[in-house]
Amino acid sequence: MKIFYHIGRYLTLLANFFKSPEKFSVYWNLILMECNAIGVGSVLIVVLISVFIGAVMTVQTAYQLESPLLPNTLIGTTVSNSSMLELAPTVTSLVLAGKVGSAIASQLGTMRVTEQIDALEVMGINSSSYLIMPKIAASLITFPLLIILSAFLMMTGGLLAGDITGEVSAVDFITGMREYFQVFYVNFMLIKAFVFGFIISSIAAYQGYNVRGGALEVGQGSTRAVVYSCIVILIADFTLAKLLI
Amino acid sequence: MAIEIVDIVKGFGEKQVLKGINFKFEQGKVNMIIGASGSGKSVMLKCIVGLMKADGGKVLYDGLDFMTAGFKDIRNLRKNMGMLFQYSALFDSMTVEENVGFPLKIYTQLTAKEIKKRVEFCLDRVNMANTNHLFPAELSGGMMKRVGIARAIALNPKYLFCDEPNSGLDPLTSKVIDELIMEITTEFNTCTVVVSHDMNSVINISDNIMFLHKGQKEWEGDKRQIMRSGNPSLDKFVFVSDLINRDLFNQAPEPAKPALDLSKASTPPVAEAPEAPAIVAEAPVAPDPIVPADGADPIVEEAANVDEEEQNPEPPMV
Repeated sequence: MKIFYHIGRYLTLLANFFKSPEKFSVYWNLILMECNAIGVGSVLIVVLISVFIGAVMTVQTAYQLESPLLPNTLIGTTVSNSSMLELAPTVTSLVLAGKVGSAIASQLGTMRVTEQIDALEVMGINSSSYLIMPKIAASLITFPLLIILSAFLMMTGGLLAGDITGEVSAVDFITGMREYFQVFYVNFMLIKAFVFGFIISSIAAYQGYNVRGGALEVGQGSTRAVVYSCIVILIADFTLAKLLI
Repeated sequence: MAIEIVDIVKGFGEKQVLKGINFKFEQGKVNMIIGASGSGKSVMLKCIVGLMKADGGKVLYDGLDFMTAGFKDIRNLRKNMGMLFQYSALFDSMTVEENVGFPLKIYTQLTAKEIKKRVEFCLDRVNMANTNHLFPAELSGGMMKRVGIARAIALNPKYLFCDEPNSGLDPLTSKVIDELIMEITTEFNTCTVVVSHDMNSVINISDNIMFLHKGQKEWEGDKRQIMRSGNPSLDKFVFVSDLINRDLFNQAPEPAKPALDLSKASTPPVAEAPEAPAIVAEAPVAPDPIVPADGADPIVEEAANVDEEEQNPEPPMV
């Protein structure tokens, strides 16, 4: 039954955003700052994981396709399609749940236990709207960009790895990528990016905003934010695949 | 009368923390809530400022019931509240200047230059001039409290709340903070509510005192009446230390009288800003008791202007 209690509180928190929003100029600055923290701050980790995932996928796919009847172009097809459909949005989001989710939860949790959120409330500021909405908005803006970057780098990493190791030539790889490309794959990837961005930022914000206690509870809240975000991402991933494909 | 609480009841599970408390907090005076740890002081303060919802009773701000008031009324009321938290609660990612200017940025449409002037006035008032660019982590406990007070008075509040203002401070710094609270109460004619268990503060600054014991109001009066209270719990609380003797209460300064010295607050810097006269000229002429001295406080009027615009938006010009 406790899960319904938390779902109810989570939805109430989201509904509170619209209760008494502050001036747009206040949000605008905050959203830009959050875009910098969430988006720009995550570029390096996204670049690293994407390039290596793409490279590993190429090597492992080439190892699987031993039959001479199967053309080498299939490696490019497999890497590009699985990057767009699954690996870029899901794996990147799982990694970002750890980085971005824990940062959001610990920031809000610390503000809660040091009475900074109370200070906002006493000033008459809608603290949930002021603190959480910019983070969610920034996630909705930056996650799709990060995931597009991730997909591009996975394919680039795969292409380079194939060419360097001699498993598949760059020409074959690109031919394979283009052969079975569908615009729907990009749309599907972007839908996932929006959904996962919202899940990570809102769940982490809920966990951080509702921390009670001290430093220990902030850490626990941060851990819960990452774990719950990952679980919900996987459930949403399956649901979207079932609904849209 | 500024704030009145009527039959405030608050419990956590089966434990009743506040058991039907009544009290009147007066304007222009330092109203102290004293009591031992766990007596319900902080919970009561949180119920008064709305950080906790009381289970029953009324919190009346100049007659307006805070617990049943509409969203807009509460928001307007909160613009008139300033609070100093036990641990200052400064925004640690902002500088001192940004902390103090924060309420102005949210509630007024002052320019950056005007906000800076007002911030400097507030910081100067709490003897924290030239600390604008420091972060809270770079300040001592006493300095953080003073910046907290500067932030609390930035919008010229009508009600000032202080939760354990002296906790964690040495006696000398405590005295500085106490004096600051007393001066601001007098200058700005605020209704100041201080939660404390520091008897030195009680001697130095209190005008009205409420003593809480196990969630009940056991006694109320002023500091000169404490020694004649005849309440064993209060006597035990007040005179537990040999350092606090009855003579000290006799030697304590007279209770503060409102608006004794308005010279320091008579010309807030914002009013001196070249852009300010335009704001003042457009402001609705509503006499405001919280305005210190000569009546026109652009900060408060600016906030009122913004509100009126929100409530009565002008029809679009065709």
